Amino acid sequence: MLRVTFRLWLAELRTRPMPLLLAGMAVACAVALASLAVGVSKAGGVGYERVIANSDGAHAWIFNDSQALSEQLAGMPGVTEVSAPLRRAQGTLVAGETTLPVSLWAVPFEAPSPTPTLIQKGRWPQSPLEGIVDSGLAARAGIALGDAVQINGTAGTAQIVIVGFGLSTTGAPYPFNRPAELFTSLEVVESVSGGRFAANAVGVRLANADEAEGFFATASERTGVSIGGITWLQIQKTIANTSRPAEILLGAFAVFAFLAAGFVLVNSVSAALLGKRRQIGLLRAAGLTPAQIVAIVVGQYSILAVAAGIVGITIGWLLTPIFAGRVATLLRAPRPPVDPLVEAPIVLFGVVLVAIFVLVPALNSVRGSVNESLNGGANKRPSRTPFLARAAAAIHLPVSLRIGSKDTFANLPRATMTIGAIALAIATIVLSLTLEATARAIADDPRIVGQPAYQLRLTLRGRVRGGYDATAAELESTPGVLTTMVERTQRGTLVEAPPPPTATEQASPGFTPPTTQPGGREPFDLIGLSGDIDAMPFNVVEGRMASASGEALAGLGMVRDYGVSVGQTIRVRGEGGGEFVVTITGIVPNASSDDRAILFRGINAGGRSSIVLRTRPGAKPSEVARTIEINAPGRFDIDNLAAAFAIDLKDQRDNLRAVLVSLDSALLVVAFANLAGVMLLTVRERTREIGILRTLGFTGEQVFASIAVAAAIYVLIGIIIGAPTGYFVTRGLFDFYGGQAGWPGGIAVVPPVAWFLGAAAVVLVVSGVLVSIPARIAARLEIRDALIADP
Amino acid sequence: MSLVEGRGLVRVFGSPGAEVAALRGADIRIEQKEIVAIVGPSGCGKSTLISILGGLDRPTGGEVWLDGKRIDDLSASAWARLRRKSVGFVFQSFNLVENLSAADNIELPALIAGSTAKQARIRREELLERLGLSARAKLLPSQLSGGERQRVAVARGVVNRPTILFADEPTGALDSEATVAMLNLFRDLHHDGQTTVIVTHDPLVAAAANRIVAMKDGVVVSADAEPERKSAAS
Repeated sequence: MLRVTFRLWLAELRTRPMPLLLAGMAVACAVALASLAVGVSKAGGVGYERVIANSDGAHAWIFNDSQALSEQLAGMPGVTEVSAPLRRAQGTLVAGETTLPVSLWAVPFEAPSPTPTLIQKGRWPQSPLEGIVDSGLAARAGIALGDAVQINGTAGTAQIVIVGFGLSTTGAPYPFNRPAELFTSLEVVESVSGGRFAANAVGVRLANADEAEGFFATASERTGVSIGGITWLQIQKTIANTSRPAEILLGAFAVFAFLAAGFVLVNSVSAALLGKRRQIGLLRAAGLTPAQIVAIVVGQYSILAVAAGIVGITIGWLLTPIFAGRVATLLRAPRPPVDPLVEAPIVLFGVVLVAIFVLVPALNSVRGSVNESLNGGANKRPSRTPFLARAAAAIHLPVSLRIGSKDTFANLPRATMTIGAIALAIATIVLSLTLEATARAIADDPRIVGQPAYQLRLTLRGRVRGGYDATAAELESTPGVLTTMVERTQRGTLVEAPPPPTATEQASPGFTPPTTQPGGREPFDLIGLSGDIDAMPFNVVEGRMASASGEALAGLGMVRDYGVSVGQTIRVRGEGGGEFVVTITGIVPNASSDDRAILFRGINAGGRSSIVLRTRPGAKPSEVARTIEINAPGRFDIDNLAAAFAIDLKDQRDNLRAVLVSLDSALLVVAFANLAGVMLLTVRERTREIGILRTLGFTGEQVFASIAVAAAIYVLIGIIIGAPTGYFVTRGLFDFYGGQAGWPGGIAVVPPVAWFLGAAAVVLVVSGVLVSIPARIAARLEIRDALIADP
Repeated sequence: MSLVEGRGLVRVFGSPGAEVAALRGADIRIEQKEIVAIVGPSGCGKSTLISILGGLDRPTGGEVWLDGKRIDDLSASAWARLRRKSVGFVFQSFNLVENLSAADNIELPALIAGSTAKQARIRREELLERLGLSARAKLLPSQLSGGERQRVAVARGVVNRPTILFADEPTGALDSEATVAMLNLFRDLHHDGQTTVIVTHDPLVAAAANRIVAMKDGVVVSADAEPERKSAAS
């Protein structure tokens, strides 16, 4: 039986390759998308894992000033290397027009081991005025090797030459982790910071990288000191999260593509079996049972599905770096290895799907007697004139339209699947247009761009005269400035976070809050706020604004990663060892680069200080920045947060756009190739009728028009169903995922009419080109041959 | 001048090296208002000949003339337009459009030829009445008997009052009763002046013609034979 299946399959491939290739292409496309979704989800994470595994990058970084602790860590079992404590300070990088806050690391002239940065290009600094900058920052600021850049700190300024680009092992690459990192000599860091260092960083490399997860807990236990920091696993998670949007889209499109592939298959298989009715009759006459014939057909297409699945997996693997986006580029991530445990189920799913979709036409092909099969199959005779034919006649449509429309729904399942495939393609196009239109609208939407609620961040150069708060008050008189606030940021860890008391508990006499030890020891930003806080329109998505000392807002990341909630009283420890107890009154999105931050009110948490400005409505942040620079030349380093947000958004949009255009094109071609296949099948089924019409005086052009009319009806219905579906799916996606980021609901916008017209033109051209193939075949049929075709 | 004339018609099928000649220089003339029966053994080229005369196929060689105009060199579209008004066809297997009603099938050529919906309907009703099909007008071909289907096919063939009606084995799929009814129908049409060419194996049908054209091996061997009227007695 297997041999018969394979022989017939090869014969089919030789004689009628097109339907098989079309079906194979559709399956390969769907498998490729699913494989891509998996690949993209793994690319960044696996890439980072490889980078860490194949280098001497640290598995964990601890931020602590104690030299004794370093020695204790070195003696711990499972620890293979501990770096010397590395000095850190805050500063600002000025490269050409770009001014950005940076974290300055003091490194020796020989790379420490474990190292805080892995050289991707260039070399390690060998003199005091040389440095390495994060690859992501270099790309953003347009820094080339050999460029001189300026570093500003609170105590002074230095000019260094960039000799290397690095990949940080202490955080995700910029801009996925902020501030970016710059590694230079201790002399430079000390001179610009005036010796105001943050806590030392100590890198630890473990014999088993996987043990990094529980390392801080184990180390705290063994040393008796509460140790916090960041592990390579946390960084890997952050990197993997950056490709979530592409992963979600690819996943959604893969589902669409599998459905479309199913529709294509049913039509393609029906077409193939229609042409093989006599062969099926011969096989039945030779003694094969209907079940065996169905098994042969399903078997043939399962072979096709396996082949297409392998092709799809290969395509997905090859394309992964393109779709994995910027982080993969920054990581120079090799393609993730093909994992049979992940890829095999995708192929298997494809095969099962193919078998299911092939089953129906296969069962249809063995209906009726052997004699009927030998005579071209059991014919289903119509029982009444189709509705569309009657409707077209009733309104006296031209005869070509009447003839063209009458068979559109003659085969309802086929028509449904054809329209379904087109509707899916149209939905994905509208989805892409809506995404694009909404992304553009968001760039100008103050509800989103205004998070955090300010547009400019100023860091003072040199000595601070009169303190930050006085300087902030001074800046409020600058034209275009609405209000100011001072932020003091340091890294901290969660010490205690008991669950919030219930209303009943709070009402109980003698109630004392329980104290439970939180599991997370990952650091986050502790941001102390002072100044005109109430004038800053923080986007509190849950709870309320912190209105008194001892109250705080939590970033969404704190909710996501630490389980912090409104009403909870938490104890946090800053870099310097000081502890604060605050009550969370509200949740805000985008509180910091990774959204893991606690915004204190009225507490001076110490650490890096900066002044943030909210500009007046209509004032351009860049112009306000210029005014400040003119009024106080060289006094501030100004970071235009609004511009950075716009660039980030544009980056994301550009990445997504490439993904969407590729996916749209693939689905569009599959859907319309399917339409062409269906029309070809229609032509084959209606060959005799076409011969009759030609006999009665139909011209080739009229035959062409009648086929085009039928296709146009499918396309029109596909558009009517697909366009609103695409819009509402996108709206749902924005509401769901945007809601998680604190965006208001209903933010998705309807794309401009001109875009729809452009998309319609593309659809028209693609469908016109593809449908013209069967229409031309129909128009060129020889009347004599057509009249003797099987009914 | 003959109504239709085929001169030295040749039709070769197949690919180079495997050619089969269906017509090898056939000459035929059809005069106005006559019924001509073309007879001959299977494969002698009868159907091919009327396909070429009616413009359903092109000759490999030779000429076709209609009403004094040479038409074998017309384009496919020009042929289509000519067929609308001037040529009607009836086939052995009826060749009706399966999902259109009898009435729709009959009026279809009228609509293709550019008649208005009203004109087409009037002509359709007239033919349905004449052929005794009024009660069956709304039925689909699959709901009609063989004889009824062929009557619908004849009505469709003459709906545009063609210059010439070609019928290829019109009674081949009918029983004897339906065959006789069909012959009577052709006679009625003849009385109205309809020129008709019938390809047939059936002597009964041939006997109904004014003239018999005999073919053999792709050529016309006799074009003037008188039918034996006795056998055509109904």
